[in-house]
Amino acid sequence: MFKRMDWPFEIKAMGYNFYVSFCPFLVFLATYFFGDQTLPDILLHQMEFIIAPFSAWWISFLFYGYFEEGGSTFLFSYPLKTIEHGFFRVLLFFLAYVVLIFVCSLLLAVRLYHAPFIALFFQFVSEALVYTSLSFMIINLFKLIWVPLLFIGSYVSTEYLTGGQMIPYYHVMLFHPASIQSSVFPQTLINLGISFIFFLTGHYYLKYKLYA
Amino acid sequence: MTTLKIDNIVKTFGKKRALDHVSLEITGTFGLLGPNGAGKTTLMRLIATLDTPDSGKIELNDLSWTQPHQVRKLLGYLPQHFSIYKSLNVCEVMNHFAVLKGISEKEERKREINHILEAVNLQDQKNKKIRALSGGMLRRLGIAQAILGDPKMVIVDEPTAGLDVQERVRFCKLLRRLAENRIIILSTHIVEDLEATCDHIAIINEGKVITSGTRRELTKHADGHIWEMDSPMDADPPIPEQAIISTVQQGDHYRIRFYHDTELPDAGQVEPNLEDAYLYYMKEADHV
Repeated sequence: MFKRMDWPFEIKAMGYNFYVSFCPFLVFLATYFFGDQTLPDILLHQMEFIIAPFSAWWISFLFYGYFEEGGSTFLFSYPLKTIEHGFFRVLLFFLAYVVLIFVCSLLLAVRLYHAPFIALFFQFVSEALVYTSLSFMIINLFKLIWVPLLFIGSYVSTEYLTGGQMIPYYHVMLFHPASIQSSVFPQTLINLGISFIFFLTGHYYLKYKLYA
Repeated sequence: MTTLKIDNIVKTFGKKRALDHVSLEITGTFGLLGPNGAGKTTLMRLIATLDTPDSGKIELNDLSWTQPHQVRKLLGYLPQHFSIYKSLNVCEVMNHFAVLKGISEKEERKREINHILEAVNLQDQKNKKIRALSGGMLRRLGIAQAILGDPKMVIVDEPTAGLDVQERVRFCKLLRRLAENRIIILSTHIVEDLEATCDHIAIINEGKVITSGTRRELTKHADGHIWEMDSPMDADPPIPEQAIISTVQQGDHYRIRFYHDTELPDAGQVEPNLEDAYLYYMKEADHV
């Protein structure tokens, strides 16, 4: 199934952009170990407003060769299925990102005695999934690396700076996840649903470009 | 011999009809010749399954282009602009393309990549970064990725555009070598490239096929219409500007090559070459 996946190459092709995604984790670890241990909300905010959105970074740069360097002009003539051009490649990098979220969630669960690991983990993964799928959809639609990054960056910073008042209809993030565990799972399910729609839209648009 | 059949293809972009009922039978090394904007690249993209026609069909034996995934297993494509993964080296990039083409065995991949790099004369550049390759090397890398997996059909769009004369000649020779047992479709507006490479040629203009055939069949059409005459340097040429094909200085006079339907005094008839024939066809097309 993943025979035509070549992710060591994908990492090389991303160059230094691959390592940029590790920066938020380093900041998290630095805050965790050297920051004020009586203020866990800072860590929760970092998870929601920096680490989860940064899942979009790898996805955008995965398609750099395709769209910014013009690779799609001949790579689309290769005998690859739509899912091999798109979803599978995204999935591999998302799973790698999930490992990093797992570590952070575990550390948070140790620090926040009242917050179960599983709730934290699923919440952050679902948030990251929304940004990943949104990035996948936008990059396919616009074929420009900076568009999904700018879009997600604007959304997240607006939400953070206004406490969610600017876009009151729905928030990918919970703002205070540790204190409202009961809302974690419904929120997670809605995020999964939104991600599914974004992935489908991106996938079918890519399929349209490949077979139209 | 395998024949690619293009039957009555129409392709429109907005109000512009890029291809207008194009029909061709393609075997061996086949060249598409035409001015910029004639529809060559559109046709190449249709054959490469990167686009679909509004109507008409493309078939190779029993295989129809309505099954693009099956077709893609048989083709290699080099687009007009080829440049990707500039920060990686030739070997890494070729290895990646081989994985994408489904050559999963590592040793087999290595063998095939070495063989192809040897064939396109890039063996010495295998550790060079893509961004460090010259235009000619980049085109050769493009053809190398196209022939990975030994495709039955190779489509090459304007392969020599922007190359210097030496690189162009080298590239044409390479295409000639690669033409064994496969269909090669080459599009260009450089007539010499087709003379050096193709057995069969089609001339396209404004989305229509003006003619197609062997080089000899095409040049035969201009037989009796191509002339040469000497003209003093200080006088206006005795024939209309639009009929002149070339003017070459020879000592103290010009040697003018031109087309004309009837005999002129002081002019000698010459055997037409492909460029003469192409210009003659284009002139006829313009007058229709």
